Amino acid sequence: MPAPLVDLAPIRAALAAGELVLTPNQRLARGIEQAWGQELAAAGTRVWERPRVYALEHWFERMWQELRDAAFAPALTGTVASAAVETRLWARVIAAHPDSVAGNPQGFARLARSARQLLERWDLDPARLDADGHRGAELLLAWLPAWRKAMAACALLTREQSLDVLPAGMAAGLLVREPAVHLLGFATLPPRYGRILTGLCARVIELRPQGVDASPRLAALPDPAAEIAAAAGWARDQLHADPQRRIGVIFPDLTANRTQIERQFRDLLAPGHGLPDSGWQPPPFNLSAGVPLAELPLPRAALELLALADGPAPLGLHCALLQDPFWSDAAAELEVRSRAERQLRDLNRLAPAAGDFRHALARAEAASGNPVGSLSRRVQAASEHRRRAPTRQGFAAWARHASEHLDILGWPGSRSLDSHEYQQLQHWRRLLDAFTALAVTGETPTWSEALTELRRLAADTVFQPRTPEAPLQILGVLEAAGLRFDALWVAGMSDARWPESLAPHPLLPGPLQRRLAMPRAQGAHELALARTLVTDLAGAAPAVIFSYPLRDGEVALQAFAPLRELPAQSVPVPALDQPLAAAQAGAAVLETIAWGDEPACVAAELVRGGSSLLRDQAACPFNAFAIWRLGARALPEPEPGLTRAERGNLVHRALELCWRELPDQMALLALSPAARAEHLAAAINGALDELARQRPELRGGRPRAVESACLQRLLAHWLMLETLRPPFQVVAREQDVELDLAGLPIRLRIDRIDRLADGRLLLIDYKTGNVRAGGWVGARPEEPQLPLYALAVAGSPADFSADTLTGSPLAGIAFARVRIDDKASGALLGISDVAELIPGCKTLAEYGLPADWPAALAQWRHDLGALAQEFLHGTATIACHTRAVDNQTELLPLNRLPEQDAIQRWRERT
Amino acid sequence: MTPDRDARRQALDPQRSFAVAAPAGSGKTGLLTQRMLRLLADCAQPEEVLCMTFTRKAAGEMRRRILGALELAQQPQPPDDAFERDNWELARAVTARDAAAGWDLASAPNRLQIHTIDAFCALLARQLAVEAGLGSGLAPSENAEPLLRAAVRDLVAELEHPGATGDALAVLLTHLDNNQSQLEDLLIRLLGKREQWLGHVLASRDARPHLEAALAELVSDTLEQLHAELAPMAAELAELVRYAARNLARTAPDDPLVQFTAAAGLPSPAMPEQWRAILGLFLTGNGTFRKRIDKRQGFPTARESVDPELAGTYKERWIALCEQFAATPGLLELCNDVVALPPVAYPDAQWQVLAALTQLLPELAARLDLVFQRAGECDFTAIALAALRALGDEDQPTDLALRLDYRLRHILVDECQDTSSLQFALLRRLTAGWQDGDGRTLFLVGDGMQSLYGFRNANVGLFLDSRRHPLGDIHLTPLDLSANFRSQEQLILWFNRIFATAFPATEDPARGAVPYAPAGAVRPPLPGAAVSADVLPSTASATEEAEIVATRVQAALAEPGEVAILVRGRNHLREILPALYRRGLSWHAADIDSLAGSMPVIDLLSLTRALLCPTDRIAWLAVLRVPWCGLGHADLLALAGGAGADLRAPLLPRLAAWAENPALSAAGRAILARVAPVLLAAWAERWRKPLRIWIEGTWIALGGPAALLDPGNLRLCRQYFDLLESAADIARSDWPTFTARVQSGYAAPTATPETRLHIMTIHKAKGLEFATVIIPALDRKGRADDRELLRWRERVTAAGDSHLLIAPPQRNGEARDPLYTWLAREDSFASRLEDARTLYVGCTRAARRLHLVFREPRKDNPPDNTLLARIWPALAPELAQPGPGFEVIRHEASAGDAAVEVDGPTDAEAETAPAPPLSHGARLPPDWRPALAPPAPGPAPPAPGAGADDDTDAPLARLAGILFHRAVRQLLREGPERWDARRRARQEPLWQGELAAAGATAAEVETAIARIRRGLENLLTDAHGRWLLADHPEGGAEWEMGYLDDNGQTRTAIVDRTFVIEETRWIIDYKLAEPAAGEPQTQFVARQRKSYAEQLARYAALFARRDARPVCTALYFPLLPHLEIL
Ligand code: SF4
Repeated sequence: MPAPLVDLAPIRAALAAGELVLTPNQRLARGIEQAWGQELAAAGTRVWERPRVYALEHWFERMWQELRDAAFAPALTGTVASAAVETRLWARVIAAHPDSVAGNPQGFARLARSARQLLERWDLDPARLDADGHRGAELLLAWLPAWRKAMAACALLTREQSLDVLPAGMAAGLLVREPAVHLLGFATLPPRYGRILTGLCARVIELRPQGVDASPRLAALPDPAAEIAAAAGWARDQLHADPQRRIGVIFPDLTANRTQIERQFRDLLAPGHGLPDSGWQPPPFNLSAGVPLAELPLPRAALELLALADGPAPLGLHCALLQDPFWSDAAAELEVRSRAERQLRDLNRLAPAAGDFRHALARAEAASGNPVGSLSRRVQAASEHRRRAPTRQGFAAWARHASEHLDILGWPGSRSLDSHEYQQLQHWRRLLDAFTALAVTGETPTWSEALTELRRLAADTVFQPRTPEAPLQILGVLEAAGLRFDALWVAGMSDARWPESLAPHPLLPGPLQRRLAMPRAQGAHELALARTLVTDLAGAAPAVIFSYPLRDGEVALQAFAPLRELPAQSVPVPALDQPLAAAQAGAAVLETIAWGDEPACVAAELVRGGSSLLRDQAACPFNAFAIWRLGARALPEPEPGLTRAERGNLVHRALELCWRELPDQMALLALSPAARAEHLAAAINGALDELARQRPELRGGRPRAVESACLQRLLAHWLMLETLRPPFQVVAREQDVELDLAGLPIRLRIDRIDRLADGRLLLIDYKTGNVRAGGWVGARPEEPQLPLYALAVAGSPADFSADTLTGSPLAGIAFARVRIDDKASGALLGISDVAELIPGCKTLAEYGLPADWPAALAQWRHDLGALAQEFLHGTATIACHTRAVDNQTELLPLNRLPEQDAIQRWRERT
Repeated sequence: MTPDRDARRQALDPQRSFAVAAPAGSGKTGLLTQRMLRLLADCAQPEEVLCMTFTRKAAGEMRRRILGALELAQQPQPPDDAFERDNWELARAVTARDAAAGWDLASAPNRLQIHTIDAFCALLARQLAVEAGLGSGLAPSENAEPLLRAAVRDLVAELEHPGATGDALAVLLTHLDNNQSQLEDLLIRLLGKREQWLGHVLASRDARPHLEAALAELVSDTLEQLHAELAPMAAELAELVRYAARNLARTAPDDPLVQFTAAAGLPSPAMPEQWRAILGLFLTGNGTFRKRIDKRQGFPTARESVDPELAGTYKERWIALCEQFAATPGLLELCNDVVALPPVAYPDAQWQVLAALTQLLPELAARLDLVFQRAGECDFTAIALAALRALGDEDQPTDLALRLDYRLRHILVDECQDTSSLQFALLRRLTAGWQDGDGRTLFLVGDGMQSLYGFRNANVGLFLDSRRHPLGDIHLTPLDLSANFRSQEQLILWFNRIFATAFPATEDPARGAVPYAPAGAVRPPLPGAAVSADVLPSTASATEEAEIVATRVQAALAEPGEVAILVRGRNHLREILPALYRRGLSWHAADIDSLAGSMPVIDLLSLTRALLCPTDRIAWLAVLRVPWCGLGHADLLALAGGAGADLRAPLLPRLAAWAENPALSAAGRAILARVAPVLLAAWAERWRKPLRIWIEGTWIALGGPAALLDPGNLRLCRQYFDLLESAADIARSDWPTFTARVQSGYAAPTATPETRLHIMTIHKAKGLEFATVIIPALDRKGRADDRELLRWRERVTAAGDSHLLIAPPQRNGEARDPLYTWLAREDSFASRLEDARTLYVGCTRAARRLHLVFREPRKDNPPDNTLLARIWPALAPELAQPGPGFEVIRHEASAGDAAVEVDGPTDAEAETAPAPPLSHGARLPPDWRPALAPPAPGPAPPAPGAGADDDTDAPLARLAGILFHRAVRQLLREGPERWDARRRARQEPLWQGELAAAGATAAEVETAIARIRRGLENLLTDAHGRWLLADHPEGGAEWEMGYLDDNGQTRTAIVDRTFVIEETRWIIDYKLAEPAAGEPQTQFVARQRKSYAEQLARYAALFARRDARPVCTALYFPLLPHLEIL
């Protein structure tokens, strides 16, 4: 049992006498209750009346409730507005007010509320505020009447306003006058609170906690991260020495750095907490900061599922949800969900719509032969549920709607909840209650507005997991007020942090704020507060260490001045904040593995690839193995607009359609310019119509018009180039051929085959991207596509459906550069056997190939055949033979090329 | 005597404003400190002095110095050192003031207003929230690009919707060949620099006249300049033009010069075409002065001429004039500028595209604001723009004194050469209304020679201009420091020799051209050569160069002091780092090693991705192949491929079934027996822990750290995990952005304090000092920037007006627009100028020695976009004949290594040498076992307390129950007899209000109130109810009782109703519950008993602790009504 965290001495008598004790926060009130209980229990009392100790605001609320329960008319004029409700009203007022900031109502609603709160707490009537030429205050004043009206219309008042009813209630005899109230741990008390307390209590006694005799020390750490680590190490050592000691660690910016702090303390105090089979466990300490509810997995999934029903959302979000365990039955649906992700990715939409998601799921379920189809049914039902909802309705109705929606989707999923998740679920329910309460505003938002509000509420709601009471307390500065420890560490005490920098409220005149000593409005006041804080903390334990980082980033820091005289404390910084990782690192003796095993390609596995298979094998045998036999392909990421592949296909398709009607160049030349354009337009339309089946946006409207115009320009340019060529006849388009290369079947589609004037054939491949000549030479050609065409046509004419091709000799192979760029090069880029036969084509000899086709083909058959055999043997050497490897960076994690040097060095070492 | 003494003394005059040129090593921070001290001594509040710096580091340094001086002032005696003594005196005055005014700066140093410009803008925007329009909760972020992208995508989505926006988008997209990615990138780039155009495109509804006026002004400004330069020669020039015109009228009547046949003088500065024609007489097509002239230009030979006598004379007059031209400094450049001038109007076709763009831009900016608001995050530009807005316009400035609660009286700006025009605009507004001598001053410190941030919109011209023209109404006295306190004399002399020609001869603020200002040495010369140049043959390989650099480093480390290798681009280090490594050297490298280039980090990315996305097969295959697993090819195939396998399906199911897979080898089975359970367990517990902890824990369990080839890489892994922690959400829902963030990360420096070798880019080295500096790869080309799609330029006139010059995006396959060409020309000027400054900054980091390493150019001159080219004119002669303190080492071509092509590639291109195949890997032995276990489960979290099942109740039913309880308590307080129907009715507004506030509809309120009403009625009329309410001894309602639970925690129990009858303690809870529809009462009561038995038993036990009386517990259901005794 940890010892109590408060020193009862100053209030013991008061508690015993049943007098009222008020604290600035619940934590201290709870601490007193604890300590008091333990003291009584130690003295043998087994049950006792609860001591009258409350957090101040909590006590105010109780008094207010008592008056209302007593049906005291002034207390029944309205309910106290929650922060969310009040902020919503402010936002409404601000948005409706004709002013420059109306475009940002949310940003200013919070400010307006906090300004109102400050004024009322400082006992100023906002209506009588003197703006004094201050723009912010002027605005506040301008908003005020409308806001008051809105509050009144909803029968709402503020907490501060409710306080004024209390003295009246007492006068009416409905509240008992307190003989004495003891205030413990308050740094400042807003004037209004002071006034009300004096009205309600005969004596107001402000207590300063009595400091322990202590000799605090000062520790300087290299940087903020080291400071956390050092504090964690210190706390661990303290607890090792005596597990019952009350240890406090204070971080002034606990909320901002909560994640790192919690992790580092866990790493040191519960090493191994991250190992996969350990499950979620409460940390072995209490940490006073929480996490926004919206950031926790369960509520996050809920919000995201709701958002999907609101309209298109980024693809990444869809995919994340597909892998999320918190809806439906994720474990059973792994394959369906994965398939759905691929379906969705294949759409190439940056932000798929709800319908896309639904279809992807339906198709995935159909494809996996899953007759149940429960997942798509859920999503379908949810979308119907959404459709049935009215466009606008009240918050309460939307809250119900949201719950139902989540129920339909099977949130929070079939995996059993652990205690942490169960708490999230409870918080979520309470969040929905708070959301329902917004109904008091009388607004009827749309679903999308309601959802935004729900998200905001979830972001503002702090979740703190319930953790067992622990001897180690990690606190912010405010939470530490009035507490006592056996040993205390106070971090972050640099002169950049203390005294707090000034940040006066932007909606209130500065002079006013300074005059009234409002928070962070005046330098001297902040300095005095900081000094008091240091004094208080220095007396909060017999052993106190103040610490500060020597630098933050590139800025050197000093300790807050009053601490500089303290004796220095040197503290070890735990070497790494990953103790387990550090212990393991280099501990094992690695063994060498030779990547030599070559799993041959069995017939049943036989891959039917196109020319890219051989291109990959030529470039890096391992990559080819990974892609073609292991399925190592990158998941497509959507690009804006049409993808490169889609646009390439459009060009191919349009050209095919274009030449379908035209037998030869003559026919093209015979067309008048207008007729040519018309012919082209028809071909483009045909191609676009086909793509529009997957791409609904291409059915009409601007996206189609733009793409059509661009194709028109590109292809008109291309056809113009075609007219400049020597005469030709188009004998085949998009010709499928198959080639057997040393037992490896290769499928090819030749974009076009032309017959030249000499009766021989030119094989053409359309290229819309950058092309390089010469990638077709060598034992491992960078670009084996054209040679494969040549082999296919020359080697197996029987495969051709068009009889005319049989036996036709080859004249050349070429890439057709269907693109407009600044390069002066012509239409074709390729090889032929005779110089100058085809413009743009060099001779075989110029590329260092045998000078005639039969010999060149034989060499290719040999070289490419060797590659095919390599593949079939399973050769998977890791090497960069051609530049094509540079375009396969997605395989680096797999082929481990970046490790090359390191492996070499390591092998030399061992 | 201290050098620069006069200037330094003047600079402390608190009445005057200054613009100080403070070159490298001149001690500017010291000067700023002194002036700030001087000003503080006169202030009413320390906040009256504002010092703005460029980096946080510089702000920290200033602060440290001021505080140091104040501490120094505590000493009673002045220090001996002259500079320190000055500080001491100045600081004494401040401490006196501090004491008198009670500032206590030592305790509250935050009152010193020393900020980076960004931080100051944020402060203004926050405090002037209304004027700035930002409101609360908008935080600037370093990673704002995704937000810009979101805004752009928002806009581009309009393509599919009717309206003018979509039309404009269609125009642009058609122009860009429907390349949406390109359009996105272009718009993002524009958004990132929106401060340059926003004002212009918002200025008028039709942007064309506005933009064309800027063009016209550019043209007339340039021509006026030419006019002015030529004024002394105007008459002669006019005469020669007339002569040529007359000749041409005969031979080439179409020549544009012909129009001057009868011209009285030179054309006005508004006629660019005519001027171009005239300049044709003196300029060649290559932009040099003509050496010859003939009849084609209108100067025939005597034989060709109709007027042979004149021919000779005029040719001589032409030659004389040419000489005069050549002797006029800067005239050639000016003439070329005139020739290059763009037309003053946009061709209609071009304008159409630009019109579409200018129409989209304001809308884009507006959407960006919305995106920022939604995200609660923005970029730094948004903050700066907001700050500017907050300050009002120059004519009607916001009254800052009123808003900031102090009067800003002095502003000091450090590194002023790197401020952007936006930041300058901020300065103008901050000082609007200031007058010379009114006690308010501006103090700018900068060094034009060190301006390096052109790519971040720094505009050095503004600083240069502030030294010539007043800023607003304030005249800044230019001061020049020249002493160099850093480098030894030999170095200084070398700098002065070499850099004088590297910099332009004259200053040109519009272009940011800064001439070199010679430095004066303070430090005595050191023996030995101060500067060395290692000249390699032009064919030398990068590896050879690296060896030389490494040798230099070793030699330098033998001397005292820090050593730095400074490079322009990180890729210059590719061969150098291994060479250093081979020599066993360690170094301190800031932002050099890319995080994502190291295999351990790549492996962690794979692991993260695999667990986030089972669909990603590459990630899963990688996870099985990394050293912590290390499956061979055959085993991988057995697991992932094989006959009939679906090569797109997730691997997870097959991994789960590994034991049944007959194709696996024995080693494979051994490995999977260890690895598969870990991965499966990790997958099963996904999202139970924060992402980082989850992945890190899995990695440790897999043996990730044990399998590191180099345990030192653990540091990289930790850096990766930190990144993962801070970007967990992005990793989950936007993997490409996350990986991009990892890509842009650099490994943090490792070095120990003993490490004396530093490696960094020259940009990073700014402001630092090293004993020895080594700059390799001077001959490498910089990035080629000739492919920019869109070019624009902000032109700030002497009056401080900003003009936007923008060319429409260029279309593939179409001729370059002349305006585009002009902008490209200006950009290339700017980068050449910046190259020279970059090299200057690099060289002047050296205190003792400087080593340059480069390959000899292949032709006479190095290519223009190398650093070497900048100093070549002065360096080339010294290579042959080294000046004092300079040493040249020529290296011979190494034999084996003939003619490797290294000169060619630019920084952007990679030099790929074919690497040997990677035949081996490393892995954990298959039988490796981790020596760790998860921690023993600690105490369970406290059970959700009793009544937690209330949670599942409908919220309104719960609330009705609470209201009922409160009513009963009040009823008991007042006495049941007084709670007649009228009294009860008075309670209803309360219920009404509370229920409505919880969001109940009118109907729901009615139902709930009816229940409460009925409950109360029953309670008051039912026999049991009346018994319950009767005034029994020792009674209490809502009795709060403290006790200690089994864990020793104090708890409080609240008992609804309790009393004592006949020595029996009764404990009764009431429940405003009813049987569900159709549920028999007995079943309902049994259900309730079950739920509450435990709680009541606990209460009973508590009372049993109090006294020995028997306890009886009961539940009371007022709605039935029914009393159930337990
Ligand atoms: S090293 Fe640290 S974070 Fe990782 S599992 Fe172990 S204790 Fe947890």
